[in-house]
Amino acid sequence: MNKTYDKIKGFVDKYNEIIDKINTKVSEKKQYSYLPLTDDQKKDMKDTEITAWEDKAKQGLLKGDSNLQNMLYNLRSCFYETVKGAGISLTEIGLSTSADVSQGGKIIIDEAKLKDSIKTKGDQIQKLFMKTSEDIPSYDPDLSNSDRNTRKSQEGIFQRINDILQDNLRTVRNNNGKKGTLLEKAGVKGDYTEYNNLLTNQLNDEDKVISKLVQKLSDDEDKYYNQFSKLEVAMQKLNDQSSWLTQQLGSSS
Amino acid sequence: MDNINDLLNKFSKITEKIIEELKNEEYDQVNLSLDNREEIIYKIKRIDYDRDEFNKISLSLNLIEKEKNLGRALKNRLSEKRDCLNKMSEAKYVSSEYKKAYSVESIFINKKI
Repeated sequence: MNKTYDKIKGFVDKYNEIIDKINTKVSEKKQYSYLPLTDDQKKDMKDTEITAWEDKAKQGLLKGDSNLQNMLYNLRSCFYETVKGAGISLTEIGLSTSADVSQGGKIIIDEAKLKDSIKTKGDQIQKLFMKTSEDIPSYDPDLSNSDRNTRKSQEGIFQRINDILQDNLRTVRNNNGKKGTLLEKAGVKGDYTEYNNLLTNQLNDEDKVISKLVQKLSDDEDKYYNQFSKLEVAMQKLNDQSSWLTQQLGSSS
Repeated sequence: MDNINDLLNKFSKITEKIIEELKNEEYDQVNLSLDNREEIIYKIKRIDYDRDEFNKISLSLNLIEKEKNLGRALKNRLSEKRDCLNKMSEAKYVSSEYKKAYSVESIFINKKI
């Protein structure tokens, strides 16, 4: 009985940890006063100061990220939506979501209630967590919304979470050639998406625009240098000629 | 052979022309016209003229004022180009710093959360 309790507690702790991390990232305030450091600025700082500064500068980069918020919402819904055929709900076994809004939907364990439920409702608890869908037993990224809802309502919490992770982190493409949502957006190391994702592509596009602008800047600079040098030559000529004129006008009898 | 009156009239006209060329940013033409003005000066130097007459004609043609206007126009253009070059230099610095901070490999594009 304790083994089952420990496993459920371990799972809930890990789940809360993930929720906490994502919550922190999507609600983190952007530090507008901490701009990226230039090389000159870094020269005057210690390594520890640079690291601290850059950590601050990175804060809030994921604030309000719609993909992460969506994942968070879906993860929460895994727990409060009824598992058809399990015959029991999370609250009945001593698991509930925190009433504290700042906790962002963390799961709270009522130890005594959970231990008691494990003793008396073991089969139902097993279904609540591990049940698979009768109608759509396997994950398929190309399911229609209606099929997804059917599958979700019939499957246990572990399967639901697995589906969400698949939707977000899947390395296999769906019929539209898309991998998981987060991979498509940010990529993952070692996968094709590491250098082929929305954010990297946007950065590359920005880099191309910047390169064009830098080239234009360089062309303009050449043009201005050229004009400046012609004007300097002209100024020298004018100075000589003006001196002569002044001399003529000043030396009249 | 040109007399002092003709030459100073040419000098006056070419001075006005250079001011106009500076307005139109025709800098090659400005230098050519200044060379032509130099030619006129050279011709004036070669003729025997009366200094008082020179002064009288210069005054009637408003040569001193025109010379000042030309000097101002040229200085303004030079300063304008210097400002442009300074701005270019700043913009190039900013773009190089941006590239360092926001390149794909930069620390700001760390996907670890």
